[in-house]
Amino acid sequence: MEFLIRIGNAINSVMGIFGTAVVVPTVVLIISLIMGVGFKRAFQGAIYMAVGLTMFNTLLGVLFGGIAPYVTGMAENVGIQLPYVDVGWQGASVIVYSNQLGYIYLVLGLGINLLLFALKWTDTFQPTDIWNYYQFVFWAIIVQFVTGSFALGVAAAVFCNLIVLLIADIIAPSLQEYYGYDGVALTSVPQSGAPFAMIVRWILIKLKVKERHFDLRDFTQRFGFWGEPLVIGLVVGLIITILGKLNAVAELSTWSGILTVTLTIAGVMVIYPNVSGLFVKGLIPLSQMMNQKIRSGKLKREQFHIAMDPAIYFGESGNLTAALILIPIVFFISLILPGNKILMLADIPAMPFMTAGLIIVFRGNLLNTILTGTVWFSLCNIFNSDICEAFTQAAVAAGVGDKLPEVANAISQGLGVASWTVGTNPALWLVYKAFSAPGYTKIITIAVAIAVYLLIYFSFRKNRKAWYMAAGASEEFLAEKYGMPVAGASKSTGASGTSVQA
Amino acid sequence: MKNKINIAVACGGGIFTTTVVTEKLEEILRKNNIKYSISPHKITEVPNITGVDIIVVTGKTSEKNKAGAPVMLGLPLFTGVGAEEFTKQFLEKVREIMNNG
Repeated sequence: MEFLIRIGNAINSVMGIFGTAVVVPTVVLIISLIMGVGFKRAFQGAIYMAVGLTMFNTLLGVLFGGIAPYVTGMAENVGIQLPYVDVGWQGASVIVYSNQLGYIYLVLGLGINLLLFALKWTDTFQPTDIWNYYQFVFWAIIVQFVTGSFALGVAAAVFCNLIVLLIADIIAPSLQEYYGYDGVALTSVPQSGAPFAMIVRWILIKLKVKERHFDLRDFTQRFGFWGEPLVIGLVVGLIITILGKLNAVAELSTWSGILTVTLTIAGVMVIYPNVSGLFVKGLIPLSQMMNQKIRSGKLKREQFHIAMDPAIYFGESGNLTAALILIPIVFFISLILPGNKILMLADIPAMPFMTAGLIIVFRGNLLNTILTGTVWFSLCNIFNSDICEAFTQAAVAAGVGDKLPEVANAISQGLGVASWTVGTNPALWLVYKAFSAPGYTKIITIAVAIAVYLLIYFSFRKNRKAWYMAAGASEEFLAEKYGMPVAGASKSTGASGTSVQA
Repeated sequence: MKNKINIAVACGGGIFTTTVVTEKLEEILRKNNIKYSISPHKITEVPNITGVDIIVVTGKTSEKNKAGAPVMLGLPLFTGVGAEEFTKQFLEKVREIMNNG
């Protein structure tokens, strides 16, 4: 631990001189080279990453410069207090990886993941999804900023990682069956909805509620445009700016401001994915390298799941339909929901990522997915609001808040940042609460958290089939792909049990 | 006969998997001396894509599109499972389109 802190401090002093846009890609470059990525590919990726980081900060300045007066205006005029502007998973990734714990965990997490996989503690090979580490390290950074302890932050990161792997293990067969992709796993934040969906499904089955099906496949054809960042930017931009200037809406000059800022917001929404695309490129060579390693047989074992970026689950028509219907529902509820302080924005187009964790459990049932999603995502906004202040501090520490005058200005007025998707994770919110309880109470709360984890872990290891089925996998699928005998039938006729044909 | 193939690559965010699959497709096409142009898209744009010969998606989606182009699931290039088979099918499709175009 002492060693980690010393390395961290050394990097931090270099960071102070060169800034995160230089240091973070350099760290990634070094890890990539150590893991055996060729220099040219690794260097190219690092340069893209540096450019992406720089442009991201610029874009955030543009967004806050435009939106800040309207967010405060909205509070004064209509009493809608949503001071934490959703800067998206893109924002969360930049803020997490620009924090000491964020880039240190790239190394530490990679080691831990390889070890846990080798020890067969987990069936999921996570290093292929290294890019998405930030989604759970996010909570560890919140722990660090609330408690002031780097050591507690590291411990929380490791524990969050264990939970992520457990959920990934449990839902993998269900995910594979619904999407029809062999051997894949989901270790990014969309998995967070699965446990809740499992509870809802369990209750529905206990109450013997009949399943109702709606065929809405045409919906995506007709309303697909509603999921586009441009359209979301225009609509949400108009709503925020009009509400923010409701006191002067009769004056012509007000409208020039409203239109300019709406176009600015829409513009940021359109350019945002490209910028984060550059940022991601730094870690792609490493992810591909790990993919090759696991396929080549050095680490391979008979049965395992391989963690994949959630982009592959996005466009399936049932999933996309549920998400497009949920976007306006969740957004409008968030405007009036007591306890919510987040102004949903940059992450709204990411809804189809988030619904994947629900729809697999409900085996494609749209009605259940939409109703459960409405409750779930609204509840999550309340938990997420609880940590926005700490997240904003993390942003300032990462140099996002103090170097950009627009953002610094907004923060001084009580505004801040949030990430809708990454913060949508009440299980990890509980971990944060356990790790940051006051004084010695945290010894008890952490012990309880670990006990609950171990209880579920061993229950799952002992009774895999029941857990797999609770997550939505069918008995037939488990018999075919996992060689698990169907209850009542004679012993399995020897299905191979391999879920990956490499 | 066409001298160049126009390909659209689409994934959820239009970023991560698209980048990887695009690189792999470029590699395949270069090896086979086929001229190409590849454009990145978001999967939600697929129904409205025009002017391309093939659409390669990284996740399942609706196959209808205005270009009337065949939609291929390029996930094997991303995961590595069944990559050779995909490459074979992809090249067959490309040659078929180029010979008929």
